[in-house]
Amino acid sequence: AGVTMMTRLWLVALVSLLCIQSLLASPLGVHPNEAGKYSGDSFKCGAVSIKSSQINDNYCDCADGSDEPGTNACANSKFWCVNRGYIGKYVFSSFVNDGICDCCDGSDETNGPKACENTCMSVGSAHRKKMYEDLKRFREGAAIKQKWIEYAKENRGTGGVSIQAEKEAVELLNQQHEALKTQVDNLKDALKKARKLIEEADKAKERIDDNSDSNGFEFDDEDDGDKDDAEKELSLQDRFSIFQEAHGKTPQELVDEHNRLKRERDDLRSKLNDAEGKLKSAEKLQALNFGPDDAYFYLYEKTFELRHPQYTYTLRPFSEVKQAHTTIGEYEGWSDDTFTTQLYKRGQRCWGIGERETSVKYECGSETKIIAIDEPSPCVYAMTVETPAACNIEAIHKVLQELGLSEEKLKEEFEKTNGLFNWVW
Amino acid sequence: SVGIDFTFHNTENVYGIPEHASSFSLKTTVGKTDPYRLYNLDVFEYELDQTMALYGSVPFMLAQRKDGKTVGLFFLNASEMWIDIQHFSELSIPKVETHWFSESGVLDFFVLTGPTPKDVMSQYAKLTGLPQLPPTFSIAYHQCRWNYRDQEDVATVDSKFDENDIPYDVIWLDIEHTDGKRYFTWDVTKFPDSTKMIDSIAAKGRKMVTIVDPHIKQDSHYRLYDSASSGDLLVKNSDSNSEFQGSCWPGNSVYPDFSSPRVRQWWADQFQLDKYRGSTLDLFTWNDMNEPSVFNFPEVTMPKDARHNGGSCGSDLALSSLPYSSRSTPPSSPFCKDLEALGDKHPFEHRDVHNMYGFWLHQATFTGLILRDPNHNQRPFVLSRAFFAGSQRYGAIWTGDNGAEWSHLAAAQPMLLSLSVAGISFCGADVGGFFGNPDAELMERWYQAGAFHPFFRGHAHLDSKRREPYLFPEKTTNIIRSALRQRYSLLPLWYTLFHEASVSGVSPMRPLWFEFPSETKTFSIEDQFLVGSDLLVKPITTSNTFSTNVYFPGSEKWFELDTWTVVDPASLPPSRYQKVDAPAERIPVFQRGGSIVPRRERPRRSSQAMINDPFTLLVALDSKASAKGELYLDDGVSFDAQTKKFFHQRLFSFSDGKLVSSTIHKSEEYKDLSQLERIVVLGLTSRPSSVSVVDPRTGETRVLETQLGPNNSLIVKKPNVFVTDDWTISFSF
Repeated sequence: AGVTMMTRLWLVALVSLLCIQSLLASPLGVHPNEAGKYSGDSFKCGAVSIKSSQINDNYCDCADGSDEPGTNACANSKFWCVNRGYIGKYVFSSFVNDGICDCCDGSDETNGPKACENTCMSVGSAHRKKMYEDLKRFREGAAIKQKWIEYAKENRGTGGVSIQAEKEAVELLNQQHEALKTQVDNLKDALKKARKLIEEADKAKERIDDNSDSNGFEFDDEDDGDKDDAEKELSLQDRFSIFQEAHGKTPQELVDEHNRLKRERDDLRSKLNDAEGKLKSAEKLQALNFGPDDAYFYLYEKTFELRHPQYTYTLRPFSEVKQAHTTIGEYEGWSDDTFTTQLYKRGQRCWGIGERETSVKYECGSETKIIAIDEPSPCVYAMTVETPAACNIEAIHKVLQELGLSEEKLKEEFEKTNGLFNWVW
Repeated sequence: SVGIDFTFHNTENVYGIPEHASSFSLKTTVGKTDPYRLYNLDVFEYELDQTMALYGSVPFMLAQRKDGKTVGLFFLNASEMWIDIQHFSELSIPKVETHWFSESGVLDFFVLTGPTPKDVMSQYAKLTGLPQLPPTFSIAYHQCRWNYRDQEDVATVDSKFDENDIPYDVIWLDIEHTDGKRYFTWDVTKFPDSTKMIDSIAAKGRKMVTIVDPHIKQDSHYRLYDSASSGDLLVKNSDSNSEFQGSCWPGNSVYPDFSSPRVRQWWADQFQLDKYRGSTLDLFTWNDMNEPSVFNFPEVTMPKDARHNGGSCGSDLALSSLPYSSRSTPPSSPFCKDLEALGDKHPFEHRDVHNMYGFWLHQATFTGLILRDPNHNQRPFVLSRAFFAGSQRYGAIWTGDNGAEWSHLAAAQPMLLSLSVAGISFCGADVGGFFGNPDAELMERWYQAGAFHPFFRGHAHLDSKRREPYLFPEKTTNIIRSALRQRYSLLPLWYTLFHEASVSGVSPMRPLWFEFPSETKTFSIEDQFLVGSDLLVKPITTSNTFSTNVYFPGSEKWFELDTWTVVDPASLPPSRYQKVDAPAERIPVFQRGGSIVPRRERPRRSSQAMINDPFTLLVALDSKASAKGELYLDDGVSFDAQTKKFFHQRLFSFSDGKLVSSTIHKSEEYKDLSQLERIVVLGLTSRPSSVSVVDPRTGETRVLETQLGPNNSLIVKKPNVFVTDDWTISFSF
């Protein structure tokens, strides 16, 4: 076991040594993955071959700038900051040795007017702390987002009702409405016939009695309330006898029945209107894109406000944005397929500029609220909204992966350092 | 009113008398249009090809005679002036008649006899003062907009430039940064910590500018108003008693009486860092609306019967104790003596001094920026819209509120040439055009042109769309970046030329006839110009244009600046025009055979970051295989060069196969660590067998590596000698 242990240690040492060697061999400003290119006695760029001594000799020999990764001699080269403890990155060659610290490890200013301190440890610690907090926030947000996704599964595409059911309901109401309409129309015809009889009787009576009783009966024979000769006066007794002969009912009974059916028909019509409206909005809803898993569906038809010193801004996601009473954009769609920014266009016109428009950017947060509003150009607005719907935990995992970290590792480090992340690499 | 006629004989071309949006060579007005008018006015959306007055006035005319001699005529009078012009070109000896009349004052005329254009400029500078040597950052690129809204916006724009590797030196704040258009204050909701903001911009080697206009909000709670009113420092109504009130950005406003030295002293004092709270030594100044603009009076300016209380044109008490003042103050003229004689006791009417109001503000601001530095040793930068003869002493001038139109880009050339020959050497036009929204192509061409104008600032109206260079499609951003890099690579040339202007009065931007005064075909050219004596520039000012006809003056070759293609005078047609390529990414610029231009070719984010960068010498040989050029270097910020001679001036000359660097002036106190990294020689007939240098510091001889470049150019690598040393580089054939 002892030998195995020794072998292991030896291997670790060897591996470390190799790492250090490859670091030493990599010229200043070169990404480790590119180091191989710079290891020989000569260096190739395009068709040109130069001596290895010309690498980083502060003179630009290669048109692509690749011979001067660590100086500012070439206009178009990039400098790789290792930034151990933080995140490695490229900076433009124009930033190398210009007296301004761009890399936290100070490697971009090794031969400039001013040396830079290595701040990667504190920058890295702060970054890890932020990552940790972000993760917490994202976890919280993602939990809510999950509920929203389930909510959307139950309700999305339906807006609370299925389009099919709604279509059937509309169809049924339509049929009922038609049936009632026929009944009402039949009754109306009957009443018209009765009226004719009354009129005939009336004409006969006119010769006998010029003065007539003003008390007539009424029926509402048309929707618009148009009344006609049915009100012609006749003695009550005459009317009754004529009606009863024809229908076996008193005129008043017949009128009451007609009016009752008509009210029923009207109720049905308004139900039908409602159902049609519901169907229409359900269809509109079906056309909207609420992002992956419909996570943003939860925000649909909700209203959010931000009180700003000058105005109150109102956002109704997927509908409109307002600045006080001024519409500064109607929903147009997502700006791209990452589902983080929505465009709202066709707002009220601005004099001399055109229609107002607003972009709404969503960021991860544990509750939905407008956190900023900006007007980068006149009458062009930019709103930032925090919402669980934007919590994309995969994005954080990707950053962690780039750092060689995992959620578990971060938690472990958090506990080890009492939440300060202040260890030495 | 007074008037006088001058006739220029053997002359077809007269120039100058800015500011007009008109042709460079002045046109006949008699029987055709109104005379050229000089009356400083805030003109909304000015029209082109007009003799109407604009923001500034210089009553100085140059006549370029057919025999190649130049005459200058200066009428020192600050009242409203009209100049009628009539050409008689069909005469056997052509002439130009000019008729000058001013509303008031005396006939105080100066005839400058030249005989060369540069002599006239020097003579004129002796009368009205030499141009300021601008601080280096101010000849680099300025990023402005009405308005960068708040501190965060400023920080974002600054970092976006860096993220896109686009250089810039100065970011500007227009009127919205103030608390209700009360200048010298901040809107603290938007700029809660202006000092921090300026410091973070300055940490990148950059500067900031805020606008300070002359109108003062009439508000008894406003310190500046209270101080001006209680100190009796304001322009009065015609009763000489009550304060003149007009309307401007803040609403009801009053106007300091800058004709009085006492008022200028008071104004200068407002720039003290403890008075202008939230300012720092990295903050500079923009004077706008100083015609003066008064919204609610005829012609949007001050009524002519408003009253001033005593003035002087020249030296200010505040400046008289500074060594620099002796360089910038012209001798008194009869006009100025008259003004001084009036003193504080005899009020005079605004009509007598209208065209000087903006000049005095510029002067007072300039003084304030010197005095705010405890050592009085920081060169100011002040941009002014209104100007008068002599404004060159105090800083830059721009052509006001132009439009985002191709026609306005084209008009920039004649307008800036007119300003340049009238001594206003540090001048520019808003890149992109102030009003409206330029498309990508107009932006590309405007940046390419602006990179060769003396003052180089992108600016935009409040209602226009955002147009910072990084907001365009990648192709456009790349073209703008290249144009900016071209400007930065030529900053050593520009600085050398601004230094030349500051000692000779000759402007950096020159008409072709300045360098080729006997070449009559150049007299009417206004769409081409020279930067110094060595760069010939022809901006593209129409859309969808990828080639252009260029006039090539002189008898030497010209070398296209990007491709090093040769234009040989022997192959030119008699017209001397030749068609040249102008693809989207290139402005036609040519370097004169016989010149050496110092360049710094490493892209940087600001001029500050270039301080010790190595030089490239671009040597364009003439027909005798010789060339020469100069380089001026100082610290770029202080008066030490002028007061203590802490500067370097080098002469580079190439002849007989030797490139020699010799000393015109050397300073031990100001050290420059820049080396020479590259020499490019254009126009060699054969490749040298060897190139060597004797290093002056070690005595060793080093053979230098060479490489053939495009179009028979020779690139000499890494001489690595200090540019401020004397050395010789030998070419053996």
